[in-house]
Amino acid sequence: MSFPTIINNILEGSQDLVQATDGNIFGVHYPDALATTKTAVVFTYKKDAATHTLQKKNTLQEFNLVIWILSLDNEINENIVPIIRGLLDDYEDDNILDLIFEDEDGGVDQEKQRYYKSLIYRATYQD
Amino acid sequence: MSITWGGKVIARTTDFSIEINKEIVDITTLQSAGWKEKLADLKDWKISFNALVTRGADATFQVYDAILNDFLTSDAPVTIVIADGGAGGTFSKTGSAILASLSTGVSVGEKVTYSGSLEGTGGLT
Repeated sequence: MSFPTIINNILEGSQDLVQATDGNIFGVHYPDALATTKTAVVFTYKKDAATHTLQKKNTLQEFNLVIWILSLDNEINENIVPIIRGLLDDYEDDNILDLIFEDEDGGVDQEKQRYYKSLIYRATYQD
Repeated sequence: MSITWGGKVIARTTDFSIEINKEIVDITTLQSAGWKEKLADLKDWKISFNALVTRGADATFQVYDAILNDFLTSDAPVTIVIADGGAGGTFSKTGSAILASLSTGVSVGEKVTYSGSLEGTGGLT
């Protein structure tokens, strides 16, 4: 299973998170048509490094994963943070060998006209 | 190229090297007319490899756990095959070897790697 698919499944598999966001959980692409009144979670990821082996390229990959929480109320964002951290902090399975929380940021997203929180993770993924 | 250990390719090798040596015996005598004379003698071979430690069992590939267990519990030689399995590849050599050393490297935030060295016993054919 690919890295973004696993992350998507983890987030969408949480009843608490689905309830808190009304199901507005998106991977990479934030729908422009989504009303600014909605609370949403969007994740983006970037491959930082890859280890190749004789058997296969990209056997191990390191990703930078950012989870964005967007809403009109910063308190809502603060309430969603522990839900996501409970799902992702130190998560591991056969594919995701490490998922380490690194940093948190927050403020006002002028473009989307709402408050945001971002949770930054570093992930080691094996195919 | 791949190394096969006991019928299974060693999982996640990042590199390996094969060294084949031939001993040369000096048979120079006073009749050698001022030139050294030599004879080829015994040959030996060794392989060293580096690989990533994999998580979980694997039915297809030889994983770190299995190699470590072999090293700790058995002194028997293992059948090693070095082959080029790629398109058009014809290179393939087989021999028996004894795992002479195994070392593992672990550090925080880094991938876990291990390296091994094999000493051939008998010919590489």
